[in-house]
Amino acid sequence: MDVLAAVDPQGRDEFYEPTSPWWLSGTPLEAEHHRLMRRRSVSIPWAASTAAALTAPERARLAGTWMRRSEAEYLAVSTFSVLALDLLAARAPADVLSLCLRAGIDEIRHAEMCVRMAEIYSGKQNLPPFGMSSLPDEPERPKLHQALANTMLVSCVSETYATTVLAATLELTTDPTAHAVLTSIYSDEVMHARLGWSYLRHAIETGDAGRKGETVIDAAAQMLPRALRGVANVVEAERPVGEVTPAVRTHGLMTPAEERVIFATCVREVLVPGFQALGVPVGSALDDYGDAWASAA
Amino acid sequence: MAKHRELANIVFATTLGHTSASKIWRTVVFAGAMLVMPLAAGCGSRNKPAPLEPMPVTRTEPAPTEAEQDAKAAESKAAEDKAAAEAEAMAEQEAADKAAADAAAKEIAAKETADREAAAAEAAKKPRPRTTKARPTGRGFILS
Repeated sequence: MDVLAAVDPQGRDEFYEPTSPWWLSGTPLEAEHHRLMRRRSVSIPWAASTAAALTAPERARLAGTWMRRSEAEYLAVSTFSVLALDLLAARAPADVLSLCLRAGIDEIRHAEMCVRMAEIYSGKQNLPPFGMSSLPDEPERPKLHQALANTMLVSCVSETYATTVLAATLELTTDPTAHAVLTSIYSDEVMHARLGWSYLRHAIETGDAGRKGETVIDAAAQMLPRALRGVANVVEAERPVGEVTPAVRTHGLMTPAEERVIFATCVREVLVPGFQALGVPVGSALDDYGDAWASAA
Repeated sequence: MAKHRELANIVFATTLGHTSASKIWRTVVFAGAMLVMPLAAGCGSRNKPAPLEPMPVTRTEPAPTEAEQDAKAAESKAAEDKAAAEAEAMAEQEAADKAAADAAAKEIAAKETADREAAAAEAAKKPRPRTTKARPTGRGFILS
């Protein structure tokens, strides 16, 4: 079925088609939007989806998941926007600023892909649920420390976990449309995560101590448990109703239990070694998210 | 058969995430944080090239007579005395100018410091635009 048959195909060619035209303004801005999105666009085989082979409950489960993903991606747009304010206040280097702002644009594209995927499984054209990001704000501490702490939360921890779980999910995804969408999102998330680690390195090498003698390393160490708890909240959150059947898994879905294992692995094999290599103390991270947490229901 | 399936599940569970974690360690953390390079304090400095020494200038002239030499010597001495007096006067003037400039620069620097501190104190009172006291939530990628 050509879902765009009734839609003005502006911007569509053999390599790119508008992802969620119902979410656009209907003004000349659309053409510029497509130009912007086309630059980093991977061609998605939308018509190749095998959703029709699933049962109604399986499609409903996947539709629910992709709407939750669209909500998270929409929230991430404001997350990177707020983070950009902190980086500007800290006079971050130009490449850090530009890539942070680009990440926000990437998240808009991700949200578009997620509502399109939800439409494939549900038949309904919805907009992403509204949400605005909240990042910690402590005006009295040095701007560099605030920027670094929030970069750790958003990028070093959250986005690094996102790339780990996406990489694992891609291994079991066989539906061509879902695989292409997840691959596109994954390739962006790698850059979103790398941004944080590069900025962390830069800040450690160039940062000064704050008024109370607190160093950049101290600021990073203080944020780490909050950042890990933030991601754990997402992993522990309730899921849409519906079983994750073997067929559903091939469309890019893991069970909550598997996600816990992946997060614990990410903490143990990626995050803790990375922070330790940069001299950031990791406290009780390995105990807090070890085997006991991973196997909890 | 059920035992084999159970074993496969256990193996899968213990290996789940290892391959992806290894990939992310290499592509994200190791590459992003440049872990192959040791941490250094401060920005790197480039070696400045050594300044070039000026080329020596040589001239050739015919040898002078004794009278010419005496006249020249007297002329030179007068010129030297005049130059020395002028140099002394210039040095005094320069010292006075420098003292005045230093005093002015100190005044300006003190004022700028005071302005900066006042602005920082004012900015410290204001929260960041769109701030909230709500507990932060990790973003993460929603899997299911």
